[in-house]
Amino acid sequence: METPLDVVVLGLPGSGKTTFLAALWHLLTANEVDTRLSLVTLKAGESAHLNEIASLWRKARVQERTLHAGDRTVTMSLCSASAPEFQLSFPDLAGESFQQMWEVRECSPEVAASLRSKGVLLFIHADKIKAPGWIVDDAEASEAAGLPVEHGNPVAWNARLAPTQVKLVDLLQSLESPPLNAGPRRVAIILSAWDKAAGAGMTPDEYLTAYLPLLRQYLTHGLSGTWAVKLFGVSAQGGVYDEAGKPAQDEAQRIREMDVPSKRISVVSTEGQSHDLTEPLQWLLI
Amino acid sequence: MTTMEDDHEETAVQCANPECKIATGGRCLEGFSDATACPQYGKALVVVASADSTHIKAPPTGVRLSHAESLSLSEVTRMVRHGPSSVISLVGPHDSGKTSLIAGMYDLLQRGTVGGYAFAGSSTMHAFERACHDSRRASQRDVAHMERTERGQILFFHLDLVGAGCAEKRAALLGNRAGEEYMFVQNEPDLAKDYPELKRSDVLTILVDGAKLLDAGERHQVRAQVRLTLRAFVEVGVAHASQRLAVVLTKLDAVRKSEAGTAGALHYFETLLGNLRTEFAGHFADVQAFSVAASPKTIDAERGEGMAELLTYWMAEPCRNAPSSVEPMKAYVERAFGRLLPKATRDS
Repeated sequence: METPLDVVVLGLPGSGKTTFLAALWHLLTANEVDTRLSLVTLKAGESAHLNEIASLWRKARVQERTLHAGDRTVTMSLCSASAPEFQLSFPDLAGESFQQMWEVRECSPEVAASLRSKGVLLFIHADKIKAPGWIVDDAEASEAAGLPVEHGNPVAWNARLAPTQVKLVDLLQSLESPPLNAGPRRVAIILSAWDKAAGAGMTPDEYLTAYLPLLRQYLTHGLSGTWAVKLFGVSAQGGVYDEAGKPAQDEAQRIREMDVPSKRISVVSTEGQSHDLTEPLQWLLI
Repeated sequence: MTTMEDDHEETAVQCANPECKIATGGRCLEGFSDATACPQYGKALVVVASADSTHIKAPPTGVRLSHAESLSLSEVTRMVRHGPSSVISLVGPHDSGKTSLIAGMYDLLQRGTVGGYAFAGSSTMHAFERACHDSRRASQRDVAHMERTERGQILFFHLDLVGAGCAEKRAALLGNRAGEEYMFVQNEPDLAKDYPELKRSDVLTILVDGAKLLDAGERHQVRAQVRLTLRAFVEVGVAHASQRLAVVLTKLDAVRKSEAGTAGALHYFETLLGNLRTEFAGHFADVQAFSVAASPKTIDAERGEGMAELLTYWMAEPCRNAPSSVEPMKAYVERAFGRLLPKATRDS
C-alpha cells in the first residue's frame, strides 16, 4: 500500500519551480549521484511533461514559463532507505495563480485544494527579489552624486507593484488562515538560482535576513509554532542557460560539456552542500 | 456609531480601479460592502502602467481569500477579543501626517525590526502598500506624497508585532480617520462620542504638524487646535485615565530644513508640550513627546527617525484594566449540594 505525500509547490512567476522539477526528474531517472529518495517506477503522472522539461534541462535551455492554463499535478512513486514506497503528488502550479491570490484575493477551487497540502516547497528566485525603494533615498543618492532627480509620470497604486517579500508573507498568511488553513505544515524554502547569490558569501539564512527582512521576521515570529521551516539554497541549473531565439551562451555550452549532468545541481543547507535535489523533499517527509 | 458625512452629490458611479466593475453594476473589487468607503470609489478611472506585460486572466469564480484592506470597526472589535492588542488613535488635522506615520512604520519593518519589535503579520497589507506607494520609487514620483484620508468611517491598519524577548504577538491597531472629522469636535465636542476608537484607545496620539510650527501665523492655530481637541475629548469623557497620550511632532525634516526657523519651532513645541502637561496630565496615565520623520520629503532627517521610540510607547502594556482569574469558591460541603462533585474529580 503506497502512502500518499502531498507537496505543494509555491512561488511567484519565474521563481524556478519548473526548472527544479526538470532537474529532479533527470536526477531520479539518471541515477548519476547518490540521492536520499529514489524512483520506484518510471510510471508517473504527467510523465510526458516531465520528460519534456528534463530534456530542455539536459540541453541547458531555459524552460518555457508555466502558463496559467498549464497547472498540472505531477506524481512520482518514490522510496527512501527508511521509508516504504510512497506517492509524491507535486502540483506544479503556475506562478500567476499565486500572483492572483495576492492581487485579486481569490483562487480556483483546484488551487485551493492543492494549497491544503501538509508539505510546502516555497520557491524564491534569489536573483529576482524586488525590494522596496524610497523616493527620498533616491533623492539623497542623486544629491550625493550631484545628479538631477529624474522626473517620471506618476503611476497609480497596483497590488502587482508590491515588493517580493510582501507578496510572500501574504501567501504564507493565506495558508495559515481560512479557507486554506490545514493545521501544522512543513515548509522548505528554496532560494533558487543560488549560484548567483553564492557570491555574496552568505548562508541561505543570512541571505534571507539581508534581502527579505520582512519575510525573515514573519517566519520567526509570525508563523504558527506548529509549522517547521527549513531553508535551502538550490542551483538546479548550475548557471545561465540558452533562451529560445537568443544567441547561445558560453556558460550554457560549458554546462552542457559536463560529463555528469546531475553535478550541475547544487543544494546548500545547514547540513552542507550536495547535488541531491531530493534533500528538501526528504525533509518534508519527516 | 460612526458618522458618515457626504455632502457630494454623485452624478455617475465611477472608480479609479480599471478592473472594478462597480460602474457597470458589479460589486466593489476591494471588497467594501459600502462602496463609498472604498478609497478608489468616486475617482476618475486611472489607467495604470502595467509593471509586467504578462496579462493575468480573470480568475474563475473560486475560493475567496480574506481581504487585505483596512479593517472596519466591527472587524477590529472581533480582533481585540481574540488576543493581546493595543488600539492607537491618531488625531490631527488634515495633512498633519497621520497616514505618513502609519505607512512609515510599516515601511520601516520592511528593512528589519523597529525598536526591538519584529513583524509577525498583518491583515491589511493592501492598505499598507497603497498608503506607502506614493513615497516609493515604484510610484515614479519626484517627491514623496501621501494620499488624503477620505472622510467617512474610521478604518484601522493592523500589524502583529512581537517584542524582543517575548513569545506572544500583540496586535497594533492603528485608527485612521479623516483629520477634518476630529477638528469638528472643537465646535461640537459631543461629536467625539460618535468616534468609538477614541474611548477604546490605549494610546491617544495627537499630531503636531512641524511644518506649521515654522509659520508664525499658523503655529498659534496649531496650539489652539491641539488644546481644544484634547479639551473636547476630556469634557465628553472619551479621554480617560487609563490611556496614555503621545504628543508627536511630525515632519521633522521640514523643521530642520528651515535653518532660520528650526530652533523657534522646536522651542514652540516644547512650550506647547509643557502647557499640555499642565492642563491634561491628570487626565491621562502618562504624557510623552516624540519627534518623528515618518516619510521625509527631504534629506534633512533620516527616514523613520524617532519612530522606534514611538512604537515602543504604543506597544507597551496597556494601562486599561486587564481580565484576571478569579479564585473558585469552595462549596460549603455540609450541604448536600456542596458535596456534589464533577464526575472527573470524583473518579480520580
